[in-house]
Amino acid sequence: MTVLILAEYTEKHIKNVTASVVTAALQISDDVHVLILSDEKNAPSFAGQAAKLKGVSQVFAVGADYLKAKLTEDASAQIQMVLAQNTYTHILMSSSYSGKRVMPYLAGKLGQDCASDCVVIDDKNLFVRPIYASSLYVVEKLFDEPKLVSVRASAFAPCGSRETPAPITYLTAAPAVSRTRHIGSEITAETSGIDLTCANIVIGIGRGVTRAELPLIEKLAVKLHAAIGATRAVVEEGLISSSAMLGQTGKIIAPDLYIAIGISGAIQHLAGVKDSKVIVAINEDIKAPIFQVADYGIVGDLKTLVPEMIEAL
Amino acid sequence: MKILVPVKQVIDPSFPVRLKDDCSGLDFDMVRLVMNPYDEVALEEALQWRENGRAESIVAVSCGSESSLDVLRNALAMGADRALLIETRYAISPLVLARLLKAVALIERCDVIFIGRQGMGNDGNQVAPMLAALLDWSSISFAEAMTLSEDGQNIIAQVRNDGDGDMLTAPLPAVVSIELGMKVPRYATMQNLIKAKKAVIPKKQADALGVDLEMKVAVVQFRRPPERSGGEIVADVSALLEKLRHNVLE
Ligand SMILES: Cc1cc2nc3c(=O)[nH]c(=O)nc-3n(C[C@H](O)[C@H](O)[C@H](O)COP(=O)(O)OP(=O)(O)OC[C@H]3O[C@@H](n4cnc5c(N)ncnc54)[C@H](O)[C@@H]3O)c2cc1C
Repeated sequence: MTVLILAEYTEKHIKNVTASVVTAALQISDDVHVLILSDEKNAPSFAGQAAKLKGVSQVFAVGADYLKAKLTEDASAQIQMVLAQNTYTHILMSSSYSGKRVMPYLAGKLGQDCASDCVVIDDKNLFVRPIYASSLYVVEKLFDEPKLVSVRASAFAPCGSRETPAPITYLTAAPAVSRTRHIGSEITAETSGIDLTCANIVIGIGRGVTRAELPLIEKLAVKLHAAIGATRAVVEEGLISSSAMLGQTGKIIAPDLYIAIGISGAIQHLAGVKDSKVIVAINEDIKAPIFQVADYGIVGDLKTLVPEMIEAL
Repeated sequence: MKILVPVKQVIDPSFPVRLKDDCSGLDFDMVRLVMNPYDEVALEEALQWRENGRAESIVAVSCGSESSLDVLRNALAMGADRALLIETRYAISPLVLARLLKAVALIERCDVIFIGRQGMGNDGNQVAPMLAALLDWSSISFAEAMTLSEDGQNIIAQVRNDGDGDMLTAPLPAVVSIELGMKVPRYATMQNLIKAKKAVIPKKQADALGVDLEMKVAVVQFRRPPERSGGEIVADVSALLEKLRHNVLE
C-alpha cells in the first residue's frame, strides 16, 4: 500500500496543511509519497521541504512554469502521469479549495467516486466526513483503487520534521492541457494581514458589528495578533471581503482561540469554527446559540466590551 | 447559448437534521424539502444571462425521485424554459450523478452548465469538477462573479481560492460551480407557481440513458460528531481575560 499526496504551498513554503495530510496518510500506510507540482525555479526548494516531512518516504517533483497557475486540469493530468508510472492505493490532498477542485476532477478522469473533507480515517477503506454543516458524520467506503480522499487538515496534527530527507526524484512535466487560464488574483487587503487558516487566534465578526466598530475590531486584532473572519451576514453587507467568510461555504478554521463577536451561531457558521480549541462569545442576547458551544461567554454590548478588552490587554 | 442548470431537492437548511436514535439513518419526518440554495443562485444567474441576451434558453434538470418534481416546478416558476426529471430509485453517488448529467448535457446540446457549488446536506463539493472531467469541458469552480467575453466564446470568472480569489478565463463549453453570494435568487410569483403546477414535466428513467450506474462509494454508517458543550458565562472582561490567560493567552 502506497499513498500519494499532492503538496500545497504558498509563495515559498510547503503549507502546514500538507504536513497534516501526511499524518492522515500515515494512518493508512507507512509508505507515503509526496508530489510537488510547481514552477521550475521553486521545485527544488519545495521538494527539499517536503523531503523533510517526518514519515515521507519519497518525493516526486515536477517543475514547469505553467504549473504555477495551479490549474485543476493540469494538476489532474500530472497526477495521472505519475499514476501511469507507479501504483498507488490512495491519493490524498487537503480539502482546501484546491483539493475540492482537483480531487473530484481527477475522480471524474479516473471514473471514481471520492471522499470529501475527511475528519477521521477508520481504516484504509473507511472515511468519515461531516455532512449537514457538520451536524452529522457519515462513514463512507470507497471500493476501487486508487482511493481518492480529501482530508480536513485541521482534524490531523502536522507530521513534524526530520533531519535525513527522503529521496527526491524529478519527473518531466506532462504537456499542459488546461484550457482554463489564470488572468489575475483579486488582492483583498486582509485587514490585519494575517492568514485566517494559519492564525492561532481568530476574531470572528457578525451582524452585531457595524462599520463604525470595524476600527475597534482591527485594534483588538493587532493587540492579539489575530486574523479577522466574518459571518456570511457581514460579507453580504459588504463590510469585509468574501475571502474572510467562515463557515460551511467559507473557510474552515481550527485556531487555538476563536472570539465570536456579535455572532448568533447559526450551524452554517459553526461548521467553520467549531473545531477551534477555545471559543469565546460576546453577544448581548443570552439565548444566542453561540453560547451553547462557547467555552467562555460574556453577555453584553460589544460596543463597550471590545474597547474594554483593548484597554485591558 | 443553451444553459443547463441541475437542481437538487434538499432539506430546508433552517431545519435541524437529526440522526435516528439507532444511528441507522436520518430522521426525515419533520423537515421541509426545498431547492438547494446554491442551485437557486445558479438558476438566477442563468435567468439573468437570458435576460441580458447572452443565452437563449435554460433547461433545469433534477435527478431523484418523483418528489423532485417540486423543485423542477419551482425552477419553471422562476423562469426556466424547460424542466426534466431523471428518475432514480435509490440514492446515487456523485460520480453516477455526474454521469447522468453528462448524458443530459449531451442530449440537450447545452453549451454551459451552471450548478451550485455543493448540495446542501451532502456538502460534497464534487459534482461540478467531476462533470467537467467527464465531459472534458472547461472547469470553473467556486465562481463568485462571472461574465461572457465580448466574442461570446469565453467565460471570465472571479473564483474563490485558498488565499484570495483568482480571475480565470475558460472557453465554452464549460461547467461552472456557483457560490451562494453570486446573486440573490428571485421569488417565483404566485401566478407562475400556479402555472408551473399544471406543467407536464417529462421524465426519463436513469437506466434508460445508457450510463454506467455503478457506484464506487457506499454509505456504511452514520455517526454523531463530538459534541461541544457550552461553557460558562463570565461576568466581565477582566474575568474573561483571567480565564484566557490560564488557557490560551500567555
Ligand atoms: C445555504 C446556506 C449557507 C450558509 N453558509 C454560511 C457560512 O458559510 N458562513 C456563515 O457565517 N453563514 C452562513 N449562512 C448564513 C447563516 O445561516 C446565518 O444567517 C449567519 O451566519 C448569521 O450571521 P450573524 O451571526 O452575523 O448574524 P445574526 O444571526 O443576525 O446574529 C447577530 C448577533 O449579533 C448580536 N448582536 C447584535 N448587536 C450586538 C451588540 N451591540 N453587542 C453584542 N451582540 C450584538 C445579536 O444578539 C445576534 O446574536 C448560510 C446560510 C445558508 C442558507
